[in-house]
Amino acid sequence: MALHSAIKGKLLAVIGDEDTCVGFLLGGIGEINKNRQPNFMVVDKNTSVGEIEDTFKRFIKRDDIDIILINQNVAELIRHCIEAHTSPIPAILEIPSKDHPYDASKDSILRRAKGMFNPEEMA
Amino acid sequence: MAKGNHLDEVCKELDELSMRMLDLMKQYIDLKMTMEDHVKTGSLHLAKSRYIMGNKSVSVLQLPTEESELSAQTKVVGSDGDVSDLKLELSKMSLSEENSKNARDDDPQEDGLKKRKGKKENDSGDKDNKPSNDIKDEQNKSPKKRDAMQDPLKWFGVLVPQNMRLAQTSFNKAIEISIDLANVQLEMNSVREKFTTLVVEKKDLKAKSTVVDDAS
Repeated sequence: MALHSAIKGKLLAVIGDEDTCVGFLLGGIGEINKNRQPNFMVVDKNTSVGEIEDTFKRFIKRDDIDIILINQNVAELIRHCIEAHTSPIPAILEIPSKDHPYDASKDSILRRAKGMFNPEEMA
Repeated sequence: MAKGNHLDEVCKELDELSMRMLDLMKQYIDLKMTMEDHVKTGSLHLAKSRYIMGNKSVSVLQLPTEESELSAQTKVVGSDGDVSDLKLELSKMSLSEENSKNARDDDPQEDGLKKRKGKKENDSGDKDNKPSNDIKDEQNKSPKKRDAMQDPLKWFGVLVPQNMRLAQTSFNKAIEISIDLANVQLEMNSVREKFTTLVVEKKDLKAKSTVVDDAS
């Protein structure tokens, strides 16, 4: 009964490679709810883009998730979904992985912020 | 004149918002870089523990599957209020706290057992059935609770190498930074929204002032 109400708050979800998922789950963010839905997804070379997209959309729809951590290289695969998500919650954080260093020019949030300094919009 | 002043005010506010946005962008990139460091260090420690424990001992196979129940020890708590000034905080359940809770859970069981013994001595027969059922229920519940709330390190065995603990520390720091990042991101969103509304206002004011100039 008290399993899920042990601490209040919302979840962090992870979509990423094996090491990212293992690491963040070691930090204690993993949860599998009563409907047997985990809040993490391990992406390997056999995972299709469609699967990632479905999981991402499912995470966005869940109201118990506040932050979605996604590897930047995985985010590149479903860029259109990330661009389409404009509401602040759940916040989507593109995180670097051990194989793919962080590239600020690909980050959706920074690209949106740069739009503010676009001279065409200012005119 | 009043309109001119208002236009100046709007322009000033736009400048301030631009500066704030640049500051936030810098913070955002710095935080991402720190996060990258922590993730890399954590991955390196994971790789070392994989080398010590064997290739298959640190992999997805050790993560809980959909058959097992698992509840998060680290969650995000949002401050009450509007989305525009929402602040997120990390809420962690310390395992020592959980252990003491478990210990407290155990105590009533012992009491129950003692009571049962006492009752058996005094009473005889059917009356004993009810309390013993309760005890069985409690015994069934408590192992489940412990499974759901154990230290994630235990998934990889009882005696895990030191590197595994170091990896856990690095990733814990990465989680803390992710909360800061989310807060910066939320502020960037609200600044951007304010900025766009002010730009529209500025355009309106400019259009009005040109119309007035033309008329005069």
